[in-house]
Amino acid sequence: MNWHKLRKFEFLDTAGWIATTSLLLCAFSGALLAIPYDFNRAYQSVFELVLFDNFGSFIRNFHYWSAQLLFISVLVHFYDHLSKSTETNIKSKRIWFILSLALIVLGYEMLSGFILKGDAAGLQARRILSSLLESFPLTGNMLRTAFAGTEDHWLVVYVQHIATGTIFLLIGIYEHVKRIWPKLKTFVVVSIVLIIVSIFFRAPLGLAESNQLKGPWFFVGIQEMLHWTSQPLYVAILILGSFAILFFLPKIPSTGRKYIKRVMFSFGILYFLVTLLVLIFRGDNWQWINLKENLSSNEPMIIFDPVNLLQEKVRIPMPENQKPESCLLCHSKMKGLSDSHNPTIIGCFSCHKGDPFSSDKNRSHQNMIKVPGNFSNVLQTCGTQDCHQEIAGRMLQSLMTTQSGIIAVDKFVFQETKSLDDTFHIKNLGYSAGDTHLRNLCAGCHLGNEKVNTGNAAWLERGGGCNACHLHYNKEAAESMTRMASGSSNEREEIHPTIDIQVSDDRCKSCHSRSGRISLNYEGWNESTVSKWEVNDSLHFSMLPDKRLLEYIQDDIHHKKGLACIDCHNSYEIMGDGKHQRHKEDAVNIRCLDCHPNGKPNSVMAGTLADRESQMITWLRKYDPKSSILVTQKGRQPLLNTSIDSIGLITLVDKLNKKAHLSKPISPSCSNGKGHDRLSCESCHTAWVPQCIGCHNAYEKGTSGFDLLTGKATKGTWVEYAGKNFAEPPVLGISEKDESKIVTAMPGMIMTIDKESFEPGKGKSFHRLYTTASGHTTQREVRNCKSCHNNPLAIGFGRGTLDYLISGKTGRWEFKPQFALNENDHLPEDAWIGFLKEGKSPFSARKGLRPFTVREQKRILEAGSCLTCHDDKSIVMGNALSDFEQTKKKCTIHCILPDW
Amino acid sequence: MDFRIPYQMVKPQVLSRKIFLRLLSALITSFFLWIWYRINEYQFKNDSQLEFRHNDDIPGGLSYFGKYYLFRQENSVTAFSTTCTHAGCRIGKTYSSVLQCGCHGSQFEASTGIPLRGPAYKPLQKLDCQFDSKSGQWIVRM
Repeated sequence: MNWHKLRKFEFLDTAGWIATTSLLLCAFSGALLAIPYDFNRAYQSVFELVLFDNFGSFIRNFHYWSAQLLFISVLVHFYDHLSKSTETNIKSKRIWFILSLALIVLGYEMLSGFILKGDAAGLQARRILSSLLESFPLTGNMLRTAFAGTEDHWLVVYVQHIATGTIFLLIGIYEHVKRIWPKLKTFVVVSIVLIIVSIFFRAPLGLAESNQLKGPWFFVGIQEMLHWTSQPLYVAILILGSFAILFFLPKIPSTGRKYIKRVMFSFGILYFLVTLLVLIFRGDNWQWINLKENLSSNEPMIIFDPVNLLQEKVRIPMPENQKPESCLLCHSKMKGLSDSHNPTIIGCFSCHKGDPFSSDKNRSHQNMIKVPGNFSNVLQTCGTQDCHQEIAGRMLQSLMTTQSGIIAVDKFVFQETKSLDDTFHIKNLGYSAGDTHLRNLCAGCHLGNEKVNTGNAAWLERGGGCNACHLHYNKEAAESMTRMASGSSNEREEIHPTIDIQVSDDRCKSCHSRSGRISLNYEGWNESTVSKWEVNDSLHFSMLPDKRLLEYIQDDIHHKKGLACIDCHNSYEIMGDGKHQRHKEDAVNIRCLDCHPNGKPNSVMAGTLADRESQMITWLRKYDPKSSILVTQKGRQPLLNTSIDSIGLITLVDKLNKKAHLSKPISPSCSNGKGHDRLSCESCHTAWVPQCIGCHNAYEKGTSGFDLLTGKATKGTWVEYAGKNFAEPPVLGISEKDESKIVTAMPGMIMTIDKESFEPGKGKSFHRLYTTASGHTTQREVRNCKSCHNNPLAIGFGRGTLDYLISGKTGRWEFKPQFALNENDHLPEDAWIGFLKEGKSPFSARKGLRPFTVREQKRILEAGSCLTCHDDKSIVMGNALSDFEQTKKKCTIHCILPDW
Repeated sequence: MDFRIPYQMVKPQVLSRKIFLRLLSALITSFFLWIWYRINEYQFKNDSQLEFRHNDDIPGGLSYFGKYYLFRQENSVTAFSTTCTHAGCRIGKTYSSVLQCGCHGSQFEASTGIPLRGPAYKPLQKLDCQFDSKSGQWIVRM
C-alpha cells in the first residue's frame, strides 16, 4: 500500500494548512463558547447549552469537530514530512524544538478540552493528568498545579486551555511558516465541512456519574497501558521519551533515522489497533465487554442528533439539586414513585436509559429500556455500582434464577446426570429428553423470564427479574398505564407504578403453587382432583386463574396470625446469598428454633451487623445500635423485623401490616425425655402436606406444546398425567445431612417416564423418589403418638391397615396396603418402603434423605405396640418417652411386645 | 615626566553583551521559577487543610462522601481517601464492601483500604479521623 497517497490531501491544501485552518476555527468557536461556559459549574453549563441552546450547541459541536480535525491533520502532516524525510529542511534547532513541543501542547489542549466538559470521564481525566504530572521527580507538584490545577479549582485548566495553549500553537505555526492565514479556498471548504458535521453530529457529553471512564479516543491507548502497569510514571516517561526522540531525530544519521522512523511507525499502528480494541471491547470499570454491550453503551462516541438552527428552544429552569436530564423536561410531573426512587434525585436515565441530553422526543427515547429490572438489563439499571449492585449479583446466582435444583432432579430421573447435587442454570438448557421435559413443563418459573408487558403481571406471566416482586401497580397507576397505552393520556401528569419492598404473598404464589405448592399450603389450600362441576361450595373451594381447583384444608398458624412469606424469608434467602445453591432447603436459613428458641435466642447487636444491606436498613429505620436483633443459627442471617428485649422476649413486626407479634419459646413438652431428641419441629407440627402418586409422563409428538424458556409454540410436547392427590400428614424419614434428624417427607416422584416416546430405544423408567417436605402447614397442636407409631403412612409403608395382632404370648404387626402393588417394584403405589423391608436406593430426590431402616421401623412399631393399650398421655407413655428401655423393664405379664 | 598612558596597557575586562543577556534571561527565568514554586507551595498548603464533620449517626459499613469514605465497625470509624493509589482517579461511589476504580479496574477492600486487584498495589490513604466528644461529631482531616 502506498502511504504517500495520504499526501493527496493536497487536492485541497496540505495537511498542515488544513490543521492551521482548523486551529483558527477552533479558536474562534472557543471564544464564542466562552460566553455561555462557566468553569465553576462546568457540567451544568455544558448540559444546559446542549439542552436549551441550539446555537450554543452547534458552536460546541463545531469547536469539538474542528479540534478533532486539527489533531488528525497535524498527525498526517507529521507523517507526511517524516515519510519524505523533509524534517531536515528545518535547520533551526529553536524552530524544531518549538514544533516538537507543539505536539505536547496540542495533546494537552485536546485533553484539557475533554476535561473542561466536566462529566465523570472529564473529571477522572483531570485526575489522571494530575497524577501523571505529579509522578515526575522534584518538579511533580509544580507541574500538577500549573497544568492540572487542584481538585476544586478549574480556573488553571481553563486558562491554560483557552490562552496559553492556543497562543503557543499560533506562535508555533508562525515560527514554522511565517504566516498564519490559510488560503481562502481552504478556509471556506474546511468551514463548510465542519458546519455540516456539526449540524448533524453532537459532540459527546458523558454522564455526571459513570463507571465507563475511557477518556478521549486518542487517550484510550494510554489508558490501556496504565491498566497494565502499576507505575504510571513509566507511561509518562514513554510519552515524553517519544517526543524527545522526535526532537533529536534530525540530528541522527540517515540510516539510524530511517530505522527509528520504522519503529515509530510500527508503534503508531500498534497504538491505533489498541485504541480500536479498547473503544470497542472495554466497558464499565475497564472490564472486557462484547460488541453488543458496547452498542448499548451509555456513552456512545458518535451521536447523530441534528441541531435545528431555525427553532428556538424554551428554556425551562431546572432546580440546582435536580439531576440534569432532558427526560424531566417532559416528565417532571410524573407521580407515584416513592422517595427511594425519587426521579428528581436519581433521574429517569438511571433506570430507563435512552438519551438524557436530547430534547427531541424520538432521540430521547432511542434505546430506552421500557421494563428495567429484567435480567437482560439489570446490570445497567437496578444493579449498577451506585444502586443495588450487590443484590443484583446475588440474584443472578440465586435458585430462583438458575432453577438448579429442579433441573438437577429432572435430569437425574432422565438419567442425564449422575448426581442430584450437580449445579445447572436454566439458560443453558439444551434439547435432550430431560431438557425438553423442563422446557415444556417447568422452565416458566425463573426470574430470568423477561417481563415484556406493562401492568401487573398476569398469573402465568412469571419472571421479570426485580419486577417479579418489586413492581406494583395500584389502581391509579394501572388506569394511568391504560390511558398511556390508548394514547389518550397527558403523559406529563401520569402515574408511575411503585417500586417497593412490600412484597405480598401473591407475588410468590404464581410459581410456588406448583410442585410442593407451599404458597397454597400456607393459605390452607390443596389442589383438588375433584371436577369443578361437582363443586358448589365457594367457602371451601376456590379456583386459580389457571383453572386448577383448590380445596380448603387448614392454613398455617403463621398465616392465621397475618405473617407473609417475607416475614420469615429474608432477602438473602429469596434473592440469594451469592452462593450457587443446589436445592431450596440449602438456600433457606430460618428454622423454627430461631424464633421459638429452647433457651436464649441467637441475637446480634444492630450496630454490629456485618452486611451492607442490613446496615443500611437499620440506619434508615433509626435502629438503636445497641438493640438486639434475632439472627438465624444457620447462616447467621439477621431478621431485621425482629427485636429482643432485656429478658429475651422476641417480637416480630410483620412487614406488610406492621403488627407486632410476640414469639414464644418452644413448649417444655418438646424437649421432655430423650425419646424424641432427634425429632424436627416439622415432624410433629406439620398438619398436612400435598401428596400425589401415580404420575405418568410421555412425549406426544402430535400435540401442540410450548417452550416455556423461549416462549415459542412447539409441535410435540411432554405431557404429565397426574394420579391421585391427598392432603394428609407427612411421611417421616431421616435426614443424614441434618444430624440424622427425623424430618418430614412426601412423594417427590412416584411416576413412570416414557422416554421411548421421545427417542426410540430409550425405553421407559419408573421412579419412586420421596423428597423433603416443607409443609408450611404448621399448627400449634401436634400430631398424637399413634399418628406416627401406629400409622403406616407416617412410617413409609403407604396407606392401608396396620394392625397389632396378639396371639397367646406373642404379638405381631400386620400391614394390608390400600393400593395395589406397582408392577415395577412390587411396592404399594404410595409406599416409600416395603413393610419391614429395607428401602432401595435411590430413596429420594435429595441426597441424605432416607426412609427408616428395618431396625428403626421395629423401634417405632415397638412403641406403637405399647400405644395399642396405653393412652398417649398416660404415665407409662410419659416414662417411655423419657427412657424407653427402662420402661420396657417394668413390663407386666399383660404387656406383649412384638416378636420379630 | 611623561604622564602619558603607555599604549601597551591592558584594557579592563568587560561582560560581553551576549553573556550579559544570557545571564539576565537565566536570572529572569529563575525569578519566575521561584515565584512559581512559592505559588505552588501556597496552593498545596491550602488544599491539604480540609476538615469535614459528621454526626455520630454514621451507619455501619461504608459511607461514601466523594473525596473520602468512612467505614464504621461497631464504635470505631475509619476514614480513607477515595483517590486511587494507582493513577489518581476517584474510586466510584458504591455501597458494597469492595471499592472499584472505574478508570483502570483496581479494587480495594473497604474496611482496610487494601488493594484486592491491580493495577494498584498500595493501600488507600488512611485519613485522620477523630471523635470530638464536645460536639459529638467525627472529624475527618485531609
